[in-house]
Amino acid sequence: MTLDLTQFHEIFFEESFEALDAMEAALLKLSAGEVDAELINTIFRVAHSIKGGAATFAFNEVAGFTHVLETLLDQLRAGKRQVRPEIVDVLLRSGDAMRAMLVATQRKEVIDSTGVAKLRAELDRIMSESGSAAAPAAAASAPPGKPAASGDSAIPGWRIKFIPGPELLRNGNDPLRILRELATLGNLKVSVDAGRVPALNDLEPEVCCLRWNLEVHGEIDRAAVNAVFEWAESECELTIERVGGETAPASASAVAAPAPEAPAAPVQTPAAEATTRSANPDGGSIRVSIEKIDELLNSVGELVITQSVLSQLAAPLEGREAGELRSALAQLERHMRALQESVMRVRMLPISFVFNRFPRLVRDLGQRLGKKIELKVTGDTTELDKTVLEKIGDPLVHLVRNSIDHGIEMPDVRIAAGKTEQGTISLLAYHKGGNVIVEVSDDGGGLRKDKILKKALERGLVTNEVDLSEERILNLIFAPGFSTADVVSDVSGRGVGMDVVRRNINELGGHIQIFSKEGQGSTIRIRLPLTLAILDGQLARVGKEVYVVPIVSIVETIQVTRERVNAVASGGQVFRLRDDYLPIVRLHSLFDIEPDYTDLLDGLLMIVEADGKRVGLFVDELMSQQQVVIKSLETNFKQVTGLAGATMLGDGRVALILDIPGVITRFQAAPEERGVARPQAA
Amino acid sequence: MPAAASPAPAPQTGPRGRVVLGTACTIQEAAAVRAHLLAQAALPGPYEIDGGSVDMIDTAGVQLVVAFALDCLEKGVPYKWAGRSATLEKAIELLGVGPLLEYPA
Amino acid sequence: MNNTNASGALEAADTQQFLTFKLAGEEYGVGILTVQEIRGWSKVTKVPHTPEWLLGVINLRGVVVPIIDLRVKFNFASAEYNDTTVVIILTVASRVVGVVVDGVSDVITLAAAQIKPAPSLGTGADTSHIIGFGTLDERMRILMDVEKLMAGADMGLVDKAIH
Repeated sequence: MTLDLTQFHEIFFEESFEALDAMEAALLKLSAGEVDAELINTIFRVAHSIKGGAATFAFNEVAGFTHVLETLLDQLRAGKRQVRPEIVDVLLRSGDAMRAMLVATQRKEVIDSTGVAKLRAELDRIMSESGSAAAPAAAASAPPGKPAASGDSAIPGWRIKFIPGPELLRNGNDPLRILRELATLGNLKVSVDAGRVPALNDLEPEVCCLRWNLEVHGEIDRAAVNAVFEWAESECELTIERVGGETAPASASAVAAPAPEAPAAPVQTPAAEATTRSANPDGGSIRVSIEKIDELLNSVGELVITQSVLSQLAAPLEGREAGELRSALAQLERHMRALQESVMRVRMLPISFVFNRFPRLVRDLGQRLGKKIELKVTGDTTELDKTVLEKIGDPLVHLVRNSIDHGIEMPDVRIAAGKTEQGTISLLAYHKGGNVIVEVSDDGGGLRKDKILKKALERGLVTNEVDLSEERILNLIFAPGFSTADVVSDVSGRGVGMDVVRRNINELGGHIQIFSKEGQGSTIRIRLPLTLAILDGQLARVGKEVYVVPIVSIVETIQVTRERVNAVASGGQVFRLRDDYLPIVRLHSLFDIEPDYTDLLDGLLMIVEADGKRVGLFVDELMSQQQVVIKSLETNFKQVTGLAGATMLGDGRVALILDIPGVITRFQAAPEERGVARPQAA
Repeated sequence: MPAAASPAPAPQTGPRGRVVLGTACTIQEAAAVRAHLLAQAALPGPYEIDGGSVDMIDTAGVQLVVAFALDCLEKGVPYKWAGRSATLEKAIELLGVGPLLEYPA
Repeated sequence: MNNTNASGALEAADTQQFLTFKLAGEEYGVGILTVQEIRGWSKVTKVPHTPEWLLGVINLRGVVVPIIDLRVKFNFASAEYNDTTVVIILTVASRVVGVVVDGVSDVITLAAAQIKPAPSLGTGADTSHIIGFGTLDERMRILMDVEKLMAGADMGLVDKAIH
């Protein structure tokens, strides 16, 4: 049997990244002033388990660095060193370095050794400083009244009974490795019991029949011992009991108490505390590759189409049985929708995955700029489709950075304005309708409309001083070319600017709005679809072609009346809708189709909106509204401006899905070809 | 970590059983090592165990040697060591099987 | 490896198989490995702002596939779409594309010796998509390199890298 360990690499990486997240969260709590032994232990365990895994897979650079880190953490844990802000900083950066090393290892790229070496030097320097003795307020609880270190039995330790199970070796565990690691914790005494080793003839080499009684003495806490056996725990019988020493240190979660803990594990009578593997903290979850889910979603999408075909076929049938068939099909449709929703939910993840990078960002950037900022997060359990989640991160980062840079004022400015010294940035997420709403708010200085207007005039974005509504003025910040100078630090080479943010949101099928009050703060509200794969669409017919218009872009649909239509000089037409004049986009011209109607009065006008612009799409007829599965045009073809993709209708035909911003762009770009003058976008 | 491990060398037959532990005696080679040990055990003793070239070894490998040694003890056939590599020594020490691998004089 | 058996016939390694089809009276061939399936004509959804020879897209078992009319692309006279019209679905570099042809003929096997490289026509026409001319049974077939045909810049198909 060959053991190929590479199959375990990916799991190791995934779990390590998660562990590093937990470590960062714990470190941030520490720096916020929460001093808790459990936090330190969490951090220690992360480093320890990553070290172990790295050593197993021979990722030596990671293992080496993590080992140094672990040594420092052990000191903190044992109370030999106090937690200082400077140390928390180094630990945060060490976490970053470990992440970078793991990413590089995962991608089979070269690790940046100089950066790592520098950090390592810092860690060494800190450790070479004499650590202060643990004060009761220090993080780890130290057992008061440590026994003098003289003779093994006086030093506390652990007695361990280790009986490997039949599968232990086959699962990649090796007692030799385990004992080697145990020996690093302290003074190890080994006593082997070979009584169950059969004759060589009868021996199955892959089954371990040796068992051990071990004793390890030193200042070791149970968690460290547990960690050594962590990987093997489920494949062996393990008994760990306290031995020797005067007092048993309090269990990790207690803060140091001046008096020794009442003997939960009384010294003289070793209470056998068998370790049991705690139930999977997730409460039973499994990792599933995203491809499998996409396949599932695809199949369900096809089912929806087939069900739709069936319904169409059944529609014109007559007779009692036809009625029964139709009602059964209606029920099928309900079940299909439920199935579809369930599968879509499988792809959904809580937005906390994105939100949880912000505490660090706010802390670091705020500190760097000298501002005091508190971050409030609400609704981080709100779920989004995984793909939307992945793409919303960067825009949100940009918005939060803006709030930190330009929103929140310096502490003295705030005080002078009668505000609290500490500013607040809030992240909010919730479901509404078929959408997810994400809001980024700050109680800073708000947007100055006069400044925005001035800048827009300077950059030629608005041509006259027409009285623009507040909403329009604020939306100017999204215009390309407007972007205010941003502090570009860690954003590596990404396009910054609010226009990019809006474009990213639009590409996700979402909308972005900004509200602001001068002196009080600003709020950016983002509306996102729950999923990218499915769209609520309105079918519209132009000639023989059927198009799908995303419902989220439709304002209303009306029948045109003569009085509302005004001709514009040299051929174009606009439509008066309340106080606005909207250009009329004749889809049949734009797409070169032969329509049923060319007279505006005969067809329908769909008022659609994108990026704050509104136009009227002239179509022959409205058909049904339905949920459509979006198929990409790019897989076998290419991207076409004005089209967001394609879908299959109930009759099996392909219908193209319109991308409203693209349609408007096309319309504005080439009206000359259509013989229509260039109208102003409303 | 064991990469492509080299199999245990072909049994060296002689008038007396001579066990040669190859460079790699891990779970990957376990089946081959066991076969070799059995082949040598079929020859008359006393045996000689040469562990001088052991580069990689794990619990499975050590266990096999222990089983061989215990068999010898049971049958009353002596063996002696003709060399142990540092790796082998360390493994024996850590697993605590030293006393089991010395045929009483 | 040029093994010849007793009768002197060449081993399969030296031969290639082509699906041949008719296009405006001429015979063409494409490597058999690129052919995914052959379909009759079905309604195509027009895609706006695309060249004339790109008829549109169809639904091929849930996948959007563009349909190209080579007769239009190569500027041949007439192009009809009726019951005898055939669409050959080709897979090229993990893209799936359909081409409309007048009719499909046999699959033929050509040895390397039977394929003559395409001469430069000297008309300035781009012949990079032609592998060569294959002659069998006294009929000449124009052998096309599907990949080069699709990748040709004027096709405008390979616009972005596929992830």
